[in-house]
Amino acid sequence: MNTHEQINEMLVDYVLGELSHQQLSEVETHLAECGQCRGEVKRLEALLESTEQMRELSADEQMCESAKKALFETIVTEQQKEPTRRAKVALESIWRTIMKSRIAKLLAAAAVIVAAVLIGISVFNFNGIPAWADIAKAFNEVEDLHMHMIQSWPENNKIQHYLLWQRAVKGRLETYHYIDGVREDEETVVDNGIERLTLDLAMKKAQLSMSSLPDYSELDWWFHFVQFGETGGYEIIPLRSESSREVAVYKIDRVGDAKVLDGKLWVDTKTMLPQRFSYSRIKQHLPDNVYPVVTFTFEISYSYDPIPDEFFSTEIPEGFTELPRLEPFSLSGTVIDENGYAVEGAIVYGACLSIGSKGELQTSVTGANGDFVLRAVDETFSKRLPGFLKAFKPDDPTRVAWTLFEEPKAKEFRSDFGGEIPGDPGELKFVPAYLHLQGGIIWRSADGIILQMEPAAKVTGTVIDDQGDPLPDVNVGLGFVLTGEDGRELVAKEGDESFYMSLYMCLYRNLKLCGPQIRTDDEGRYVMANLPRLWKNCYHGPYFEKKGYVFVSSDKLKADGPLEDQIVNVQMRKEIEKDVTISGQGY
Amino acid sequence: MRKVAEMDFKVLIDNYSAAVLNTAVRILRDTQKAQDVHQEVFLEIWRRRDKYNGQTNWGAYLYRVTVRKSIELAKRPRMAALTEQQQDYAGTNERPDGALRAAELQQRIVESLAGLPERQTDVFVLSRIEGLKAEKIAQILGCSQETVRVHLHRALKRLGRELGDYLGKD
Repeated sequence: MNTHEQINEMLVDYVLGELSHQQLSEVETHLAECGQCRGEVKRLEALLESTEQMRELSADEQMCESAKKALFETIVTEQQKEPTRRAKVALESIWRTIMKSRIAKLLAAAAVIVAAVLIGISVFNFNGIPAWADIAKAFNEVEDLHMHMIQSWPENNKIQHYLLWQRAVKGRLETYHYIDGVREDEETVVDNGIERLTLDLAMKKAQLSMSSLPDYSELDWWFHFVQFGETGGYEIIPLRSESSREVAVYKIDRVGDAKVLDGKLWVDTKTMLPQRFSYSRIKQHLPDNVYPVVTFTFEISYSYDPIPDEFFSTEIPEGFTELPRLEPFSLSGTVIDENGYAVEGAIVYGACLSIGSKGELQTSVTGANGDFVLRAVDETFSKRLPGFLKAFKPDDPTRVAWTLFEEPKAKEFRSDFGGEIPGDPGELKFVPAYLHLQGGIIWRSADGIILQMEPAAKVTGTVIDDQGDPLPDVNVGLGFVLTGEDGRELVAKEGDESFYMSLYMCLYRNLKLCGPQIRTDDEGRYVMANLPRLWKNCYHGPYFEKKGYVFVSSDKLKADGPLEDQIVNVQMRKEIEKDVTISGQGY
Repeated sequence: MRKVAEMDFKVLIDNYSAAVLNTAVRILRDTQKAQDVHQEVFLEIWRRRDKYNGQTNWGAYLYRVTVRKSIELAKRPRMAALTEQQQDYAGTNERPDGALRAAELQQRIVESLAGLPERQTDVFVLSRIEGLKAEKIAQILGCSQETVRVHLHRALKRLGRELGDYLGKD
């Protein structure tokens, strides 16, 4: 009789059906009593079955024909191989554009780098397309990176150049350059991780501020999905027929979202680094809004050559006027009572459109002369308008001092609230900032803000569940909704300046007027005091949130005329109701 | 020395395209990738056409090269271009259906093949995936039938062990 080891060695032949009669019966006898060998037989059979399934696949005629065709095409191309002229032409045209610029000197150096990037694309042999993860890895290990993006609007023959240099070692350095042949809005930003220099090239003005480098992951203007291999939401398909031994080509698309791409990325198969990325944005959808359909095309070229240190110098160039240094974001002013006397010990609260919880500003308490300074919780987040500021004494729910910071354009767009906004920021002294071309949307530092106390409203109530029991720990808030004359919420319509404005309407809606977090107590009661009694063309939108619960109903907040003290009781119910028990009626 | 003339090359392709594609598609289970392998295999011959002499056993040579290249390609990290269906599965805890599990097992088999000694891989693919008889395999690989048997035996043993978890699952 064979031992277990000997039988075990025969198992492969057993499953292959290559045993003699004698051997077969020996193995079967052993299998009947050995679980380990039975397990192995089962696995081997599964293995054979699986490979047999693989055998069923075969190439059909069409596949053969297409493979042969692709092969011959490649061979023909290879035979005709000669240097392409394309790169040279593109380079010359970029060179011309660059030399026209008034900062030709800086850009001349840039052009040398650009030159290295514009490599002609050939369609030779395919020799394996790099995996996306490898590209992301290689890209993340790059120290010096230069990107040149050309954005064009084919319809009206307009072109803009964006140039970005960054170094990922010493903090991060970033130069942002913008040329627009029509508006001459040229801006350069250099941030070396210690300080930031902003140059307005048209006005020849320079301003220093503290560094505010974005997180690596926030650099989405250059399509960080390429950078980080974040493929979520994007469809990335290797284009084998267009790829060659040297260059792999990928199709990149994002359909059905804000960005509609028709993108192509060229990657050097040796270095695994992107060389070129081209795409178009066909249209842009925003909530409640249709932005006019515009086609942009973008062409980005990448270079990884070492960048000269002087590119990251924050020294102010000759011929530029230096503006006062931009200090960290702050809002400062004084709180006064209705008679004009300083209010000591008032809490000052500020909110702007939240980007997560960062939208709130630090809360401050006024000193003996009513002064306050509010700072950002996080200096680097973008503080968007509109912003809301209010001051109140914790022991006096009947008074509030407040103001609203708005984008000038938005002021025109929204209806009149029925009077001036107290402490109208129009009168405020804004600290100038040349930073950010999209600066309109940024809440800049301001000082000299006067917040004067006026009568306030108070909304109180109780939140109960569907059983009538009080609900503690409900998050209570009050938003601010703009309405038209008809009392309906304002929604931007197609054809408005709506891309911009509908965004604004959303921003107002999310402004928290109630102040710092308010929750119901053990008896389900809440108090939102010190509320501004806003006028017409708007209403307060209270909200009630508790995890696992949904809003059922509430008393209506009176909406005609200034907000009065009132009671708003609320009912909520559990979100998911399983195992509903219905008690019997009992005869 | 006799170079592979253009005409011969065309004959070579006509004779062996289907075989190369079959082998590649069975290993890779992806027609596009199989075509890539086809392209690589023949292009390499084309590029080195002046290096071959008239003695080459093309059938055997192409089998071996195709197996090698297919496994190499299968081994590469998978591209982002998963199908939507695969992505859907990736996001759920649900058990994929039988077809997908079979595909997954096949992928594992191919990945494990990459770790075997070359000869074992060749024998396994030619025997189990291509379904060739030991005699034919011996001819292709230029070895004895007994050697084929030993390699197959070892390959099966090892794969059975390595893939234990996948094969054993109910």
